[in-house]
Amino acid sequence: MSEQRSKRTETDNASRVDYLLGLLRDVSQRDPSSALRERLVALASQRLKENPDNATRPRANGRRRLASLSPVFAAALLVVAGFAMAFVVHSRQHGPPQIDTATRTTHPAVSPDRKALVAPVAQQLLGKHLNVHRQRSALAQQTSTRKMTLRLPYSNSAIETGTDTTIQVSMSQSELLSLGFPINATAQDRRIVAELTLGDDGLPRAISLPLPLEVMKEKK
Amino acid sequence: MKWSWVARKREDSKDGLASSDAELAERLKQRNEHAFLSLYHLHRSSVFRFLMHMTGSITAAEELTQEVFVVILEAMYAGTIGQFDPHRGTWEGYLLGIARNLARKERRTLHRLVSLDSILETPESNHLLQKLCEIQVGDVETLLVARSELIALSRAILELPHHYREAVILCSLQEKSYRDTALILQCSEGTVASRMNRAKAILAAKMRRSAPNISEGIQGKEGADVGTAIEANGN
Repeated sequence: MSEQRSKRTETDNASRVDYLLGLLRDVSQRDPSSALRERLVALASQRLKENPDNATRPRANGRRRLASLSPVFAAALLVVAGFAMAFVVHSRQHGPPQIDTATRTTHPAVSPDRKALVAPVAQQLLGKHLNVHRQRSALAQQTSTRKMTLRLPYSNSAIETGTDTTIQVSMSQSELLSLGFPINATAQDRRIVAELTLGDDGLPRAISLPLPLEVMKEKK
Repeated sequence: MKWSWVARKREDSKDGLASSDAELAERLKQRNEHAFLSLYHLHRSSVFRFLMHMTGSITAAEELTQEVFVVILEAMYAGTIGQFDPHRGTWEGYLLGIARNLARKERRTLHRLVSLDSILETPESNHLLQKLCEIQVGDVETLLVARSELIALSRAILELPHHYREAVILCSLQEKSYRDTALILQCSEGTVASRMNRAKAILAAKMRRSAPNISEGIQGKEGADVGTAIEANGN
């Protein structure tokens, strides 16, 4: 009796699933959107207008050429390997080649009358070289003291307090970013050394970042 | 006599289909744009619906449908029609084969979390459901029960093992014969039949398990609806 009941329940369940599957089939009678058709039309018109010969031929030609070259290449490789082996064997038998110091040629010395002609030109060249060197070092000094300075929005420039005091502070990248410094905030735990300019009233006037940036790791 | 005529007629129609498939293949080989569009118009629905049920998402189904036809487009660009042979199968079967592979790849690589509700929670589906169940406009409870059951069934289908799911989608939701399904899935008709049998048994068991949840959910939802209605009326 219970078996019959369970069989009936199973049949009922199966028929219910069949009914629901039919319902699901009818409910989900959807078609893809018209946008998809438009995309495919555009793709087809673009792709099929291209000439496939341009794209496929060079590759095919290249492959064919490679295939014809491969025996020649293999033979050349064998010849080179043979020569290399012969050279190694020969060098081992005869030792390293000796340098003949006696036959070594030396540059002829500059004669004293020519020296007089050459000296002023050499001095001029040396002076130019030194000038260039000085200019370069000045430029390097400039770059080392270059700063990115930003006046703080709440500092009143109308109040002149005389001398300014500068203190070194370390600020997080996000703080600097929020103040308007163009900084790429990559590492969150890094802080950057900045100089805070204080007025005599003790209020901060400006923040400057000495370049190149000095980065320090945040203490936990 | 009558049966043999029917059989012959069916064979004739099949030959006609095969010849039209072969003709389409020839035109596609010649890189005919109109042929490509007619192929899309003929088979877009079956490809899209298959992918929709396989992925459970309308967006993913659209993306993959596009990929299926792009595969054909790429083959046309190279002056071929891929591995399609009109003597071995139909265009629909071939396209569904590509769709099947793409759906499997998508599931394997992305492990995308899909929302099944998107299939059944569109206004069109609601309207269709109301029509199909012959539900009167005011009978919200029956509509909610039917919808919840359908959502549960869709979820159960998505949870089925891949080979069972394919069989259910093709046979039950796409109304393909066992023979056609066997051709698409590249297995015997007997295998398709046994997969269907097993899949339906699993679905029935899952539906039985989800039945109490559905009634509870409906009650909860109904209560919530009543609550929102009272709030809206200010009573």
